[in-house]
Amino acid sequence: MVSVSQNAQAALDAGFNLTANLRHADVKALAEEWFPKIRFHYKERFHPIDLKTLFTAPKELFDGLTEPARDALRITISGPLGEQRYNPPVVRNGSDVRIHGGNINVDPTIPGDGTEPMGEPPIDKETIYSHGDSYERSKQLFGASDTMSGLPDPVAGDPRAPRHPVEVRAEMRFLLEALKHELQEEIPNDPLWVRPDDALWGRFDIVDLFFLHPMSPIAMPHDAARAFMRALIAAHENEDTATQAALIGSLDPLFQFNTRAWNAVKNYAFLEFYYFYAYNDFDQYGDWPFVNTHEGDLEGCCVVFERRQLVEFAQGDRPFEEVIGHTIITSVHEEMNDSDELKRLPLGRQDALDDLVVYVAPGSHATYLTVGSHDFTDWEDVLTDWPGLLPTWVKVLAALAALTPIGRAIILAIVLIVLLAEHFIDSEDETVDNGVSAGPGPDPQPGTTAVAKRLFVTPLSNISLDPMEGGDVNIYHAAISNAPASDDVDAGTLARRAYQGWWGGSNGLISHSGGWENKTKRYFKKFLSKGQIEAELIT
Amino acid sequence: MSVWTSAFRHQFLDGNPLNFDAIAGTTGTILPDGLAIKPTPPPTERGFVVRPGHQFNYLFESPIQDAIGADISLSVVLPPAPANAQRSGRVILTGPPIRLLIDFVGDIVRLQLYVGSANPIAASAPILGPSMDIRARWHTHGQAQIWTDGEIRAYNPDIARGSGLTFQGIEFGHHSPQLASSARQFLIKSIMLKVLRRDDSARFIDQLFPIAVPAPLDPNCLKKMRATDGQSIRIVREFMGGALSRLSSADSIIAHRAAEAAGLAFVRFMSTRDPQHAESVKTSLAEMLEVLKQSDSSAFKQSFDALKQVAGDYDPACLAQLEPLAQQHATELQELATVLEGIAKVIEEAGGANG
Repeated sequence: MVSVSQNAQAALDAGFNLTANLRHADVKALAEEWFPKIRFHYKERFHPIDLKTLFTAPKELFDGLTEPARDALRITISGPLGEQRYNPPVVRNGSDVRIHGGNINVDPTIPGDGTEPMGEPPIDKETIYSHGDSYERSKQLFGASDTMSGLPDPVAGDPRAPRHPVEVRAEMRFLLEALKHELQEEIPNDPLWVRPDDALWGRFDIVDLFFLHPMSPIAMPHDAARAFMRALIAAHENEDTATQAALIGSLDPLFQFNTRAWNAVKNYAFLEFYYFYAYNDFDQYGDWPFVNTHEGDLEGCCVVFERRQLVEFAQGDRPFEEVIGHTIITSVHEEMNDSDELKRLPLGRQDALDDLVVYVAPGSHATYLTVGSHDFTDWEDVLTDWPGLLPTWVKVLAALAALTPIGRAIILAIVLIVLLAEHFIDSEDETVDNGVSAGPGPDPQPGTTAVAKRLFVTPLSNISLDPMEGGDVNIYHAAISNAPASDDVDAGTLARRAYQGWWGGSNGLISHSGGWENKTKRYFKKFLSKGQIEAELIT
Repeated sequence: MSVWTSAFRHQFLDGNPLNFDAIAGTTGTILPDGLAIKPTPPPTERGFVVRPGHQFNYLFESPIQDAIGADISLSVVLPPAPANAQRSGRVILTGPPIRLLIDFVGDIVRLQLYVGSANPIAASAPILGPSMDIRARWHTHGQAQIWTDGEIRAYNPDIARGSGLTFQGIEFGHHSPQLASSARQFLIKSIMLKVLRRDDSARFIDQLFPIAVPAPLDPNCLKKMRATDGQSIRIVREFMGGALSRLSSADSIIAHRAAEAAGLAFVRFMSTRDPQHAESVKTSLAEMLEVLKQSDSSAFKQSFDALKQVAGDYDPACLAQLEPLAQQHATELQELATVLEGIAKVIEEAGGANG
C-alpha cells in the first residue's frame, strides 16, 4: 500500500472532484436539508456512529474504569513475543499492532487524534480494526442500555436511548464524475502517475452495465469497455456529439449500448448517507440459522438528485428551495441479495421532504422504506442451477467412507436433516415507527424520542489548490502540505476514511466483517433497474 | 442465506407499477392502467386497488419447477365501507394452480386456499381494523395453513400431499377483468411470494460446507445419483406425510418443534463446529423420531429399512469420481463424519428398537 500522502498527490494530479461545480458548503446545506428521517426500532442497541467514535468512545470509557474492569476489556494478541494485551480498540496486521487504545488522543486542544498512522504502510487491505469482536464487549463500549425514561427494558414509545450521539456521514457523488475517476488509469504528460489505491477512490466500476448482449450473457471485454466509456465521457465533456455518435455507432454489433445507463450517469447525482454501526447483533432479534453477527456494519441510503438542478443551483441560476430530491434508495443486507429498496419521491418539495423516511431493522440494520415485517429475501437463490439433491459434501463424504456401513449411516442422517431444513421459518426484519428517531434540522427538544444527530459531510469537491480554477474543499487536502485549511479536513479523518482494511474482526462463514465499500455501485444498479430515468431533463 | 426462496415482492412504493422485485420474467396484463408511470401518490393511496377490472399478472421467464412449498403473504388496507359491503380479490400461482381467494364481507374476512385439485382449506376471521396481514402456506407433506394478523386461522395436514408443482407466474387482483369503478375496493399494500423447491434445503445445507458446486461428476453419474437421492428423500417424505396426518395436534407440535430444534442445532454445529450443538442435534432428533415412531411403528421400521437399503445403492464407480475431492478435504470431512456417525447412531437406535 502507498501512503495517504501519495494517494492525495495522485488525486490532486488527476483533478479529483466528485461534485462538479457544486461547492462543499452547498453539499453540506443539501445534506442537512435532505437528511432522511431515520426511525430506529425501540429495541435497537447499536445506533450509528462515525469512524472517529470507534476510537474515542472506547478510550473515554476505558479511562473512567477501575483496573479490573479495564483488564476485562483488554484485547489479547498472540505473536512472536507471546501474548500481549492492549487497550481497545486495536488496529493490527496479524499480530503486529499498529494502533491501540493507549495511542488515542481525545483532547481536542492537542493536535492529532492518534489514528493518522492508518494512512501509512504497512496498513493495507488485510489490516483489521477491532474493539474485541464480541457482542458483550461491543455492548459495553457502544451499546445502549437504559430506555429514554431510564428503565431497563425497552417498549414501544420508550426506546433504548442511544449510548452515543447518532452520527451519519454524507457523501455527494455526481455519477459522471464518479465514473470518470473510476476509469482514470493515466493522466496526460505524467507517465509515472498511479491511481490512488484506497477506500475513497473509485469503487464504481459499472462499465459492464453499458453493453447489452441481446442473445446471451456474454460480456464485452472489460478493458475494451473501460476504454470505450473513457472515450465517450471525454467526448461528452467536450460537448462533441459527433464523436459520441460515432463511438456508439462503432460498437461491435454483438452489443447494444445501454442508453438508459448512460442517461443515468449523465443526468443524476447521488447524495449518499452512510450509517456505520459498531456491531451487528441480528441474532438478538432474528432466528438462527438466517442471522449473522459481526463487528463493524456499514449500511445506509441515498437520495438521488437531478444533475441539472444541482448545476444550476451551483451557478446561482436556481434557488436552494427549487432543488428537489428525485428518488431514495436504501441498502438491505448484502448487495448479492438484491433486496435494496427504491422509491421515486413525490414531485412537490414538501411532499418529497415529508416522504423522506427510512426505517432501520434492529440488529441487522437493514434500511427499509416502510414499517412492518420484511422477509429476508435472496433473489439469486431461486435461479441457482443445482446439480443434485443431496449436498455435494455428503456425497464426497460417502466417497471417503466408500459405502461402508458408516457411509450409509451418514447418508441416512443427512437425508433427515435435509428434510428438516425445509421447515425452517426464515428470519424477518421488523421495522417500527415508535423507536428513537433522528432527522434534519436543529436538535429536538428533550422529552421526546427524537434525538440529536451529528452530520459529517466528506468533502469531495474540486481538489484544485487554486480558487481561480474552482478549487474548493477536498478530504485529500489533509495530506497535501500547501492545501487550504478547512474545519472539515484533518489527517485523522482522511486516514480513517481512506483505510482499506477491515472494520471488524469477525471472520466466520456466515458472520464476517468487511471494509468500507462505497455503496454507489449498488445504488446505481438499483436506480438503473427500477428508477425513473429520463434522457434529457427539462426543468 | 435462506431455505425458502423469494419469487415475487411488490410494495407499491411509488407510482411505477414495475417497481417490484422478482425472479426474471415479464409483466403481462396490468389492468386498468397498464405500465403507465404516475407521480408518486400520497402514502395512504399507495398500493394496488382491488376491484372489478383491476388485475396484475407476472409471468416467470422460466417456470419454477418441482415446487414443494408456497408461501403467499399480503398486507391489505380496507377503506371505510357500508356494513354489508362485499369486497373480493384473489392471488393465483399459475400452472397447476394455487389459489388464495379473499372475500371481505361485513366485518369478516373469508379466505380459501386451493392447492391443485385438492379440496380447499378455508378460514374466517374478524376484521379488527382498517388494515390486515394475510398469509397462506402449503408444503408437500400436506400441511396447509392460513393466518390473519399473525394468528393461525386454519390448519390441515392433508392437502395435496406429495405434490410437486410447477408455477408459471403470479396473478392478483379481482377475478373480473370488466371495469366497475363504483364497486367497493380494498388496497394491497404489499404482496410477497416465497417458494420451496425440492432441492432448496439441500442447497442450503450444502452452503454450510461449500467444497464443490457443481460436483465433478459425469452426466451419467449425476443422473444415477440424483435418482438414488430422490429415492431416499421420497421414502422419508412418504413416511413423514403419513405420520403427520396420523399424529394428534399436540404430538404434531412436539415433533415439529423437535425437528426444527434438531435442524437448527445442526446448522449451528456446521457454522461453529461446537460439539455441544452436535449433542443438541442428537437429543432433539431422538425426541422427534420417538414421536414419529409412535404414530406407526411398523411403517417407521419399514421406511428405516428401505432407507438403509437405498443408501447402499450409490454406484462405487461414480463415488470414485469424487475421490480426489474426498482426499483434498479428508481432514475436515473426517471431523464431520464423526459427528454424523453419532447422529446416525441415534437414528439406528430409533429404527432398531421395537422393530
